[in-house]
Amino acid sequence: MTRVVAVAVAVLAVLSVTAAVRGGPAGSSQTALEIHKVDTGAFSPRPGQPVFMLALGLDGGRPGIDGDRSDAIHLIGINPATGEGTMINFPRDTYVAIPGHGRAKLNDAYALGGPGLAANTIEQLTGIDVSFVLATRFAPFVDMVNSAGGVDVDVPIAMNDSFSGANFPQGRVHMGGNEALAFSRNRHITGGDFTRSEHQGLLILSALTKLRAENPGATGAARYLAVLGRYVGITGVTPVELYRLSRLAVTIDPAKVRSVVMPGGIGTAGAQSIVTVGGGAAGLFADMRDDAVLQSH
Amino acid sequence: MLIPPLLVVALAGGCSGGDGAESGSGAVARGGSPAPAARPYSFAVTTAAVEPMAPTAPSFPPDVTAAVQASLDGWLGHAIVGPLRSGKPSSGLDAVFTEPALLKISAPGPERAAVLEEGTPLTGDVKQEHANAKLTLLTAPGGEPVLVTAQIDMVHAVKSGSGFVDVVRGGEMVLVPDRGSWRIDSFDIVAKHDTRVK
Repeated sequence: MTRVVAVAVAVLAVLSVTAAVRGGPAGSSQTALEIHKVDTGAFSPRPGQPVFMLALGLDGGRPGIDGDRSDAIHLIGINPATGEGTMINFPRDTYVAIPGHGRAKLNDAYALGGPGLAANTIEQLTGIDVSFVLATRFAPFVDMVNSAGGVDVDVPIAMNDSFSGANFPQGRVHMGGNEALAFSRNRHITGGDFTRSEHQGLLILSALTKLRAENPGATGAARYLAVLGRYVGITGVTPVELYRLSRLAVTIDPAKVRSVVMPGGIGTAGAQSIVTVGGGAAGLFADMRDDAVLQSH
Repeated sequence: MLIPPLLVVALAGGCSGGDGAESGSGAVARGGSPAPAARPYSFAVTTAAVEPMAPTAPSFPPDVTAAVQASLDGWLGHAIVGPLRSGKPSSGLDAVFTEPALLKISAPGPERAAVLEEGTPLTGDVKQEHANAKLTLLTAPGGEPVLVTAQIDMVHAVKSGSGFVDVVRGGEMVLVPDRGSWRIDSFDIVAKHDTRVK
């Protein structure tokens, strides 16, 4: 793959980076990236119509036991008219109602019903209609980030974590695939899962910055979409919609994207440690819902 | 995937401003140097590449090339040459642009100014120095044509007072199958007027 293609793949992958690996690396036969369209009707960015997508990092599941869980969960809204956006980062242990399955952790939704149920769960929680689900897995992530030439991340706090392998000074760090994965996995920091989720959001914005800097233009975009079409699992998305989506991403200035973590608290459900949805969450979702831009947060 | 039938649109020659632009595929060339434009206001089109979402690349379908040329020539006539002569807003743009693109250019602003030459009445002949379009086709996994990018490079000279104004446009356009034809869906075009003394 050419570098620009690799960057494109990587940015989409980073949009849904896996944060915690429970079952070990996924098999090499798994698709590196999946793009699912989960609503009906043709997609076309319109000035007054925000676009919402769900980015998931899948853990690969435990072979023979269960399916993929989404350990990185981000709801991204883009306003085509203003070039602004919002990303809400959800802790994976957020305890929610999963349609048809009772209450469970948010990261179970994908394992129980794939991208459709993951999107429905988020829609029920937030009241926001999701158009696309982007999902990737741990195994190809490292290679893809490496192929893209790495990504520059402004590390907010110094890290020295033996569990994830995250060892970074505070400040700008050029990360290869392994480093990016370690950075996004580290939860042995102040704020735990909440801060980890915030860091995943930071990684997404760093990747978007890189994509914007290497904007390949319309013809270049067509070229990398052709390659993406050969390597990426695409469900329900037409090539034109995929093109429009990719061009929309390039128009977004990462500096105009607010990245916030869903307000919540720590609790238990039975023997499980969970994250409860905080009192401020409903207001946050409502603020994002109308135009994908936060006015009061 | 639903691909609308690919029909060649025979856009009416010339716009309401009487620009004299004509449609047709007489200037199509494959690879290499562009063929000279057969008519005064028509793009010299070259087909540069086919980018397939499948392992093998089909050839660039001639009917797609012709339909894309018809839309580009329609844009040239309705949005550039006609208004250069009349100074009046263009007509017939719905035959050239998709609905999302029409929405984008419906209000005055930089996007409309990039693709519409209006409000600048210039007298005299409009001379086409050159108008080149290099096409790249994206095909779906099944081989269907789904999207064409056109790299645009064009200059039209208009007499103004004691000199000339070069109306220059460059950039890229994206055309997609739409309502039985191919229409401009998005663009990244830079426009400028260069004045030169005779």
